[in-house]
Amino acid sequence: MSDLSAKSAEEIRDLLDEYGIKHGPVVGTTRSLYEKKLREAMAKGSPKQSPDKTYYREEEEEVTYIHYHPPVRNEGFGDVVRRPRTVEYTHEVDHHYEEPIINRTQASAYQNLSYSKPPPLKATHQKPVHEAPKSGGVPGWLRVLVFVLIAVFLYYVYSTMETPKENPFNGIEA
Amino acid sequence: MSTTSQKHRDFVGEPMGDKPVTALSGIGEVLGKKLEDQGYDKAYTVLGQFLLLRKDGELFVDWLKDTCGANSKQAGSCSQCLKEWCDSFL
Repeated sequence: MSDLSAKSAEEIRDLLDEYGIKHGPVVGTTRSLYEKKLREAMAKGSPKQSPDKTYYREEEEEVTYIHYHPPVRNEGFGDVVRRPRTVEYTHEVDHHYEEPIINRTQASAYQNLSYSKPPPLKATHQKPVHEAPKSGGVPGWLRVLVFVLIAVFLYYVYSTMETPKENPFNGIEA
Repeated sequence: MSTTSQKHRDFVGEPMGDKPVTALSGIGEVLGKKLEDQGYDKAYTVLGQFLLLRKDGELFVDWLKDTCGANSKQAGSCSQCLKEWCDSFL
């Protein structure tokens, strides 16, 4: 992390985006401030913030891949080398990383966090879809049934009310 | 920033023109000297930095603390006065 000062303004900018730090142009007079902010962010919750950001950003960019990415990154530390190769690659392309050191820390950061993160996210994605129709559908179905029952009952009342009235009339007329 | 100083009101009330950096609220002689040593001799040079930091008060306060050793109150006061100046004149 001490090699921040060796980075280009562009790399600093990408890192700031990565850590979710709002920033303006990285120029001579603002650079040291941003380097300090970055160092603080890196010292604090570096793995936590960055993958979150890129994760959601990825969701926006390629909607169709949402469900495919999480399981792949899920593999954790052990399978880092084998499985998530493709994931690492896309991240490199996205953020134009040129320094290998950063790549490695970034990649491991992604896997560290996504190890625990994505599954709940996937679950929350699916649950509402299933629950919403259920909670909305059952009462609707019941409502129709109740409506039919009431209609039948009212018709029954109507028909039973008519017959006694007709009878007395017939009796009087006869 | 519940109360504003006379200096604050004076600065926010009119275009800053060529006012010195010490005209900024929160910047006294000592901080003004430090800023001048670093090339920020006019209030507008500090405004320029404020704008570069996208008028973000938090970033600006940090920058001012780093640059001239201002304390939180001084930096906050300066940030507030630049922000209000921008709201009226930018």
